[in-house]
Amino acid sequence: MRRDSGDTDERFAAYVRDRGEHHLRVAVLLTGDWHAAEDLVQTSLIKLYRAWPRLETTAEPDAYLRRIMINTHRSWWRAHWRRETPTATPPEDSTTDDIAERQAISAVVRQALAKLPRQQRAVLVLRYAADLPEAEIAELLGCSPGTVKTHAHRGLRALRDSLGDDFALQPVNQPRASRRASREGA
Amino acid sequence: MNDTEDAVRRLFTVATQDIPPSINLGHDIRARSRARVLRARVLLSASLAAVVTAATVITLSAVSPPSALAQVTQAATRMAAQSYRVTSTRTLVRAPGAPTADKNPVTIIGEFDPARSIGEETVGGGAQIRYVGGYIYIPVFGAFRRTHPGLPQKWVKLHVPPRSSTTVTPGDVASLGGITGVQPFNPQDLLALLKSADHVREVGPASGPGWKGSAYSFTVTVRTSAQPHQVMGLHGTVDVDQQGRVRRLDAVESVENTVSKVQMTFGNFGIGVSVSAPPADETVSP
Repeated sequence: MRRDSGDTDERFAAYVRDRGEHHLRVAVLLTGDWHAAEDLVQTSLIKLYRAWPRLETTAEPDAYLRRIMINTHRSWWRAHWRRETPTATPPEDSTTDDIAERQAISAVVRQALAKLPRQQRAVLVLRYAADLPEAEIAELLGCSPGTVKTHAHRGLRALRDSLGDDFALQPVNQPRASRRASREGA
Repeated sequence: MNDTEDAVRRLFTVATQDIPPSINLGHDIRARSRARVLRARVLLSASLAAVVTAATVITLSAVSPPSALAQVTQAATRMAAQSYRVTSTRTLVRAPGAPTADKNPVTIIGEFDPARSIGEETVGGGAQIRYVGGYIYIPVFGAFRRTHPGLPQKWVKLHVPPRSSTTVTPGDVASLGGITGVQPFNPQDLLALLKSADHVREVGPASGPGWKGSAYSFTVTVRTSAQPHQVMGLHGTVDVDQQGRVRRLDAVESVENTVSKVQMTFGNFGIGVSVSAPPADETVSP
């Protein structure tokens, strides 16, 4: 059964409202930059919108959009249309140390991710940001589950080496003083 | 779930919390999708038509305004042609092992006339640096004096090689907005940095005392070719007024695990700048 064309736009708008931010967060980990992430998600949403009326009601739009994003990111990477730049985001509000520190950490993590080979980065992001099972990641990337495991193992090791002590980041809801004490090994 | 996976999930959570407010995913998705289809249909009709008149082509194609990148680089280029005053503040946000005291901001106030290759800046309300005719004059600093005991001179004279406005070095990023020990701050480096920027886009209006204009976000990435390979990133916004002049820059620079914030404001365009080299007997060249 196809989606009712009468409420296609409503459903699509609701989907973007509900799930857009999740895909944007995944995209920024893939691209390293918020504006490249916005580009990637919007380009992918345009493709999804055009396919929306044809999607079966049982189809999962998240999976569909994810596939579009991965394929689009891959084609951009190959064509060098979008040079992935590990960047820092300017602090929105520089009046508190917590916000500045958090944004600094964001920049460092995205930078470290951007240094990884594309496939390793994609596996880590899909596994630990999008929480996909290995089988689904393998299907998305066109490789075997064994290869996904290998990429995950190597990517985690490379990320740990790159971030050093910052890898063992304490939960973000932990008070700042105790986070610093934890990081300093107190 | 093991500790490593737990740590990665936490890192990714933190790394994706700072979504810029300017991002609007749902904006115009449907209109842009329909516009793509419409353009495809129009092109198909034109190719099938026996005659396509020039008037039709003009009607169908839009005269594109300058791109955001062009706006920013044009503004930066204009800076090379007129004098101005600049205030720059550089703040160390985070660095491994840096105590809080080292994070105090450093402010530089300067006046420059690029066309005459002269300029002067005061660092932190104290040390003065002069630029004259391709040379930079820095007050003799402690390390230099220690290697040259008994030195009577007050100034060190260094040659500033002509810089390419298209080649960006890691030093350009590291020195933007303040003294870093890598090389002294030179606002002209801003031109090269902005020309090498990518992901430039207009993000909204901007204004300041006596001016209005637009804000543009940008990113710059420089990779060192020599070991240890480093990636230095600069990401921020640059405000350009309606006369096409750079008015403000707000950026965050990241180098490995070190993050700094840079804020620069430009004004008093056309100001008279008068700077002369220090007396030769007070100057030493290393």
